[in-house]
Amino acid sequence: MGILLWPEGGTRKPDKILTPQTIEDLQLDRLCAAMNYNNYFKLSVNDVIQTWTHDTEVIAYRQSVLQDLLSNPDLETALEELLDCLDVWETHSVTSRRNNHDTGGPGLNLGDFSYLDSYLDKITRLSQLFSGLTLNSVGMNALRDQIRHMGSSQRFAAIRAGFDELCGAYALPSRVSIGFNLDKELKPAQLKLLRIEKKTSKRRKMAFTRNAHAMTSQLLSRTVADASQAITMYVKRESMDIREVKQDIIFYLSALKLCRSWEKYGLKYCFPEIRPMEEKAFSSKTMFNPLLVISNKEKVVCNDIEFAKGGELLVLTGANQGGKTVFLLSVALTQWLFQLGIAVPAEYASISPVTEICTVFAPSGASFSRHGLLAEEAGRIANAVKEAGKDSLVLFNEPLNSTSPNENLHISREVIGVFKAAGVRGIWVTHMYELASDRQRVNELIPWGSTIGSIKIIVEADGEGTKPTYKITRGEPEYNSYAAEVLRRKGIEMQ
Amino acid sequence: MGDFSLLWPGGKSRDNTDFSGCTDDLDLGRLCSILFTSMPMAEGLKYADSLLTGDRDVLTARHEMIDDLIASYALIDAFEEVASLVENMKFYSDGVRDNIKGLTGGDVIFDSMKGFIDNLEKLLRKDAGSVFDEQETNNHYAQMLRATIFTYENIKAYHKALTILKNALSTNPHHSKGLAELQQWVEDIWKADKLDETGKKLAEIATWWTGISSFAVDIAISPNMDLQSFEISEINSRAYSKTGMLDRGAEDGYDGLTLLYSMPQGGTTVPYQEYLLSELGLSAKAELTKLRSAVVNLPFTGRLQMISLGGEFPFLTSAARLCLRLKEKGLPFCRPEFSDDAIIDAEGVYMIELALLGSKAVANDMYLGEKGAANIITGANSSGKTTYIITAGQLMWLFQLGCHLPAVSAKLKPVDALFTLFAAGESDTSEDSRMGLEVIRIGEFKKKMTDRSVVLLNEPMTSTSAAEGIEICLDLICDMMKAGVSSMMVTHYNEIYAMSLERLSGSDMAKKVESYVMAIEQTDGGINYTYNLIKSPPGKSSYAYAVVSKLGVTLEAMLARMQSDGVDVKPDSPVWQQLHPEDV
Repeated sequence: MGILLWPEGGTRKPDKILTPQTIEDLQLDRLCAAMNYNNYFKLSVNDVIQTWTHDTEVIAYRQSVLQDLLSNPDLETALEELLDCLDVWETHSVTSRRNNHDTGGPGLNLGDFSYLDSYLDKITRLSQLFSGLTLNSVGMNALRDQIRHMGSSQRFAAIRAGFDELCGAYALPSRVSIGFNLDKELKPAQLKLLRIEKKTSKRRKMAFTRNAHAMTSQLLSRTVADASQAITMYVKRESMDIREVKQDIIFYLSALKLCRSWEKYGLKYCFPEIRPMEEKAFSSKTMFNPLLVISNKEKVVCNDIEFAKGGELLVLTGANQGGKTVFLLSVALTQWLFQLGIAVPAEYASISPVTEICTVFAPSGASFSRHGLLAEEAGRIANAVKEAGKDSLVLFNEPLNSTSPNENLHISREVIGVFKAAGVRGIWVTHMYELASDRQRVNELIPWGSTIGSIKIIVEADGEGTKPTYKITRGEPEYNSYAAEVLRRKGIEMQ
Repeated sequence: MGDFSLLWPGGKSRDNTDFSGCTDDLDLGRLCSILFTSMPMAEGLKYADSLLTGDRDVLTARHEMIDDLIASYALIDAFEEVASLVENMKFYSDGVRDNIKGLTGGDVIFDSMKGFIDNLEKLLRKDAGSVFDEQETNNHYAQMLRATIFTYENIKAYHKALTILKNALSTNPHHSKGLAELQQWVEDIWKADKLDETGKKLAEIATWWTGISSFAVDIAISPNMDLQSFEISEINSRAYSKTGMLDRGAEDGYDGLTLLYSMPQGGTTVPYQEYLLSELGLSAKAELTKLRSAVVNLPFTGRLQMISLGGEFPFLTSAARLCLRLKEKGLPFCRPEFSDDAIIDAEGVYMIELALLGSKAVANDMYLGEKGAANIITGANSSGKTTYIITAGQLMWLFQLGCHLPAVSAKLKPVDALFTLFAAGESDTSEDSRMGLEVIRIGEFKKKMTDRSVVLLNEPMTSTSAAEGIEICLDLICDMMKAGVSSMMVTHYNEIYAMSLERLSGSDMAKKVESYVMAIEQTDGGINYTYNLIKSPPGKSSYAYAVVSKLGVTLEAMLARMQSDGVDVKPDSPVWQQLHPEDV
């Protein structure tokens, strides 16, 4: 990673790596896959989580870079061109011209080595292109300086000398031998360049078909390119620094794509106001769950939420299939995107960074453990206790269901009490209404730390039954999860 | 010598036995990996699914053959080797079929065509492309090369497979009808195909034919760098090495200049490979013609039956190997019997995965009545309820494959379908909640279940409030009983057993509800798990604290952990004594 992601450039150890379980619970792989700039330039979820930070300066730095990009279409074009170049230089150095078949043309084309000329041209062109842009962010200006510097490098000039020296031996070959290994199906499956010679043979010669000519030309291009590794090393060294920014560019172009996907859906996004960590702020208006956009949902319901000052643990109750998990993920993903330094799915947001995001979601039956589901869940809670600090965001989604209801309530009360006392903020989705209705007593009993609040799903009448609105409101729990409504909607009748 | 099947005797075939929806819940993938060790998991699951049946005759025939194999390692080894050879035969047979023209001669015509085209090239050098393209489609010599070599390799594999079977079946005792029929077929086909003579012929061929593994093409380059012509310059029986002169490690020996790498596949590569192979075939024409003449008329009329049998051997050998692995570990296994009045009536059943790969596997007796019996299983958290219900499902699956079972003794009745409902995970697409997914699953099996079906439920309806979850579970149990569907339900809703008896009071169905509990032993410091299931009314507690305390999820431990990490949670404050209203 380079200077577009980190003010000081280079690789930086991430502040905190989310656990694989949290990545799975928050469906970050889906979100990252949807962000992919295109089918070729992709970021894995592991790439993205490496960029996650709670450093407010870094967040602000990145926000300004993305704002530069959003406001300047020419910059997007320039970055795309730079990205293509970086990719060619990188894949060339790694794959020994694996993708150059199509440039072969007739005959043995020593122009395969001409990528070097292209490299020289591109550096010059990019230097001119970036010089003509109006850039506001520190990151983009640093990138422009780096490109300009490359054009005047001494090493840059040395490449041409090496090229002339090493390619002389391939200048006028009379005969090139390629060896083929047959596979089990008796197909030529592997090949290699055996010899390049000047003398000719007197054996029976065969004519080329058009296809054979083209294929042989391509295969020769590959094998000859393999022999040019020494020259390739020059290019590799020369472009090493600038190639560090490749992931950064993909990151920002992906973030740009994410913003555009929301715009297309008629949804608004914003760059959150960055609040100090100690404020434990999380306030958003018209916030939505970006996973719903990925799923191409017909209707995306937005919600407003403001956590109490000093941090709040919100107990979320309400109807089955009412959107509790969707809301929980909205909050989590908004926080996560904010700390990537990019836009968030809300019209307005004011957020403090968190040091960790911890999740405790009920495990599925498929994640059968020999010690039982409750042990699996308890293990996740224990991890959250271990990982979480006073500035963490914790998200509980129907935990501890794998025991009797009374024991669930008892243990849940202790867990939420400890996290409250620690000042942690977050959301606790549950059907144990008592956790919410008892909040006032617990808030008074433990006056320090964060506050416990109660939010619920709004349900409205719908002909013969009810339907959830997917809207969240503060208030007392309803003591009804509308389970029978789910059966009715799914057409299940019990005799 | 008519066609026959070892696994489907009497001309029977796959019935409608349905275990398709319970693969994940019952962990059948992992069980498949243990059973079919040589297959990838997905392949093993597909293979097993093709073998499921409720036919008693078919299952009995499989049991008998597995008994034979268990008694003889040599038979297992032989069948495994033959299965591997048959895999090769399938490949070579397909290859010969796709290149059959290569065995029909016609070389003279092609030679004359090629000579004509070569001459034409000299006359019309610049315009010869289209003529040569047409020539490229005439892949006679490629077909000849493949058909000849594949035929030779096919006969070699066929001869070897039958030799192995003949020796193994004649020298190792066996008692099943299936293996007796197999032995008779082998002896008949040996005579019919004169395989003694084939063996001598193959030995003679091996003295002059060493195969083709690689070849080289020389490409002539003009002074203006144009590719002019090419020629096959060498043909080798060994492959070129990976390393080239320009590569690291080349001092250890290499061929040529560069690394060996894979040809691009598909697209225009295919005709190019075919073209190269045609030229190779032409260059090796003399040796290939000789080989073709030597093998083309060797009889192997039983090859299709051999291929069919080869696909059945892996089940028999895998089932037998599993028993032997259990035996080596000192674990019991049994040939199951058929029950007329119970779905499962077994003693000392244990989970195979735990027994072979894990620590200790506790054996339990298992009984599930037929036609609407309902077993309600409760007990402490982590006491082994889920393991028990999965073991029950796996036992039924193994039984209907025709395997021997991990139990001291077992009587089972085949079912037409097994359905499972285990606590569901969230849907990744956010389409349905945990509760919604469970309800959908209930809807699915309610439509399909019959009075020959079984349903296994593991902690259903926990994703709603307890009162609503219990009510739905009760409705479900009563519905299944009325439909004559037998079921097992693991739950922490301890009230369900008493409430179901109350609801069914006055009905004969009440007698079909049984309560089982995973037994624990109370100790001074807590509880000990016995992992033994006993018939008993439900207890009052699930002993959740015993589980979570081991993982540090008690109030004291969580406060201590937070405090030690520098978060002041005031662990000594008296307020913690009043956290629970009932404690105040």
